[in-house]
Amino acid sequence: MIVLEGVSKDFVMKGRVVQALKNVNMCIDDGDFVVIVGKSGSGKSTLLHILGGLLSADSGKYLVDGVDVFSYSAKQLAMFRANTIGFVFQQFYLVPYLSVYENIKLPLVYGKHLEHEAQIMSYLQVLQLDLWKQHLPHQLSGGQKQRVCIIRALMNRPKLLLCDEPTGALDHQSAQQIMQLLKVLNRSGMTIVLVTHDLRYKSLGNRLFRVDNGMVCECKI
Amino acid sequence: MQNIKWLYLYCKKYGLRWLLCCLSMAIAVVCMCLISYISYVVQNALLEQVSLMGTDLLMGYLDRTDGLLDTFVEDIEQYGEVDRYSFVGSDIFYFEQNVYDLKFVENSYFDLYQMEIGSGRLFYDFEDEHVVVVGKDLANTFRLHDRILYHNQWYTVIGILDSVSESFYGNDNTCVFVPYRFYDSSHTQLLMKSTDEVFTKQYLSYYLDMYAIEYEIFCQSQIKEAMKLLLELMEKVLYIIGCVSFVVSMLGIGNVMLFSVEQRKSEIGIRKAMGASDFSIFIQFLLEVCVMSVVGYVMGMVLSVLCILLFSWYLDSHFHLTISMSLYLLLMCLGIGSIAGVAPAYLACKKDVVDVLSV
Repeated sequence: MIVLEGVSKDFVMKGRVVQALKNVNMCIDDGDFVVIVGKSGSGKSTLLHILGGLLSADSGKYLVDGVDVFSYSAKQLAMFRANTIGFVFQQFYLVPYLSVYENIKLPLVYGKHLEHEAQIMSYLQVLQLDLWKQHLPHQLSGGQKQRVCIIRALMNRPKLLLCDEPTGALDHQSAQQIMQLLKVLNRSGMTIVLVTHDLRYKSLGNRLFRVDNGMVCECKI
Repeated sequence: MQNIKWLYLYCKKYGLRWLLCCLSMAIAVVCMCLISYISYVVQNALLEQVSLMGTDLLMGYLDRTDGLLDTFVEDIEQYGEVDRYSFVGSDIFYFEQNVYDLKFVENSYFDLYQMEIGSGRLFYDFEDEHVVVVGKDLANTFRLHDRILYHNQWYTVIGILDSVSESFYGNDNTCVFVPYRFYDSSHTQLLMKSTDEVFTKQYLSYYLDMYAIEYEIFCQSQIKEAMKLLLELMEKVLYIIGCVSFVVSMLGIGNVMLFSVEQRKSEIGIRKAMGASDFSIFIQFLLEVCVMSVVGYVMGMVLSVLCILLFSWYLDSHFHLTISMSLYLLLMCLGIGSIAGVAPAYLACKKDVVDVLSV
C-alpha cells in the first residue's frame, strides 16, 4: 500500500514561492490503476516525481508498505528507485548509443529483482520488438520507443509503475496500443499511476485523481 | 565491465570526439618520449666529445714573471707524474677583416694531440725566425710562405696541419699556431696530459701551493660535471615544456568531458531514475576518462617507438626508451586523466534528476 499524508511541496521561481502541492493525501492500494489528470503546471508531474522518489517534499509523509520514503538517505532512495519503481516518460529517454536490447537491460545493473534473459525475449516478442533488438533508438518509431521504455521499466519487477504522459509524443494508434498494454500489465497485478492531461484516458484506470493548483482530489469515474 | 561495455558502445557512436581526446594525450606522451630520447642523444654526443679530449688538466692564470713556474715544471718533470705538457698562450689577430684564433704553443702541444703536419713542417721550440703553422681549415686562406702581420711583426707560414681531433680547447683546425717563445704576456696557461687526473690534480695543487703560485685548475672531470649539470638543467626545462603539453591535453579532455556531461544529461537522469547512485555515475565518467587516458598512452607509446626508431636510424644512434620512463608516463597519463575527469564526473553525479528529466 502506498500512502501520501499531508504532502506539500514549494518551489522558488524567480524569487517567488510557488506551491506545487498543497497538503496532498492519497492512498493507493496494490493493483490499483490510478489516473491523475490536470492542466499543465497543476502539479501532477511533481506528484509523480515524489511518488518515484526523485523529489522530496517539504512536509508530510510518503509511506510504502508502512516505511516512510522521505526518511531515506540518498543511497537508500537510489535503491528504492532501483527495486520498487518503474518509470515511463513522455520523451522516452532511451540512451542513444545503446541498442534496444542494451537499453532494456540497463536497470539490471542497478536493481536486485532482475528479469531473466528468457523473460526479456518474451517481452520483446509480445511487443513485436524482437526484430529490432539490435537497433539503435533513433531507428525506431515513437510507438516502438515507448514500448521499449515500458519493457525497460518492467525489468526490475517494480511494485509501482509510474507513467508520465506516455502517449504525449505518439500518434493516436500508437497511443491506443500503449494504453492497452498498460491495462494488460495492470490486470496482471501491477500497480500503475498514469499522469495525463488527456481526458480521454480518465476511464482507463479504476481510480481517478484530479490535480488542480496543487490540490489533489479523487473523482468518481 | 559493464561500464567498459557502455564506453565501447558510446565510442562506436561518438568515436571521433573520443579519439581526438586520446590523440591529445598521445601527443603529450610522444613529446615526453622524444624529449627523453633527444636528451639521451645530446648527452651522449657531448660527453663523447669531452672524452675525446683525453685526460687533460689546464692550469690557468699562471704568473710567469718571477721564473718560479719554470722551476715548478722542471720539478714535476723530474718526479714523472705528468706524461706530457705544454705552455699555452692565446690571442686573436685580424687578417683581411676576419678574426682568427692565435695560440702560442710549444712543440709538445702537437705531440699532446697527435697533430700531424699536412704540408711544410712543424716549428721547434727555439725557432730563430718568426714562423707559424696553421690549422687545416685555414689552408685556403693561408698558403706556405705567406706572411702574417701580428703586433707589427711579420710571421711566415711554414706548415699546414692535417685534420686533428678535438683538443682541450675544442676545434683546433681553425687556429694559427705560433712558437711559445714569442708569447709576451705575463700570464699563461699550462696544459698537461696525465694518466690519473685526480691524483695529478692533487699533486699539482700541492706543488703550486708550495711554490706560492696562484692558479686555477680546470680538468676534464670538471668539464664533464659542468656539462652534466647543464644537460640536466636542459633536460628539466624540456620536461617542463613536455608537461605543458600534458596540461593542454588535460584541459582538452576536461573540456570534452564537460561537453559530454551536458550532452548526456538525460542519460544521467534516466540512470538515476533507474536507481543509479551518485557514486556509480561518478565512477562511470571517471572510468571513461581513465580508459581514454590509457588508450591515449598506448597510442602515444606506439607512435613514440616508431618516431624513436626513425630518429635513431637517421641519427645513427641507439634506441632509447626506458621501462621506468614508460611506467612514469603511464602514471602521469592516469593522473592527468583523473584530474581532468574529476570535475566533469562530479558535475555529472550531482545533476538533479528532476531538472534533467523535465527538459
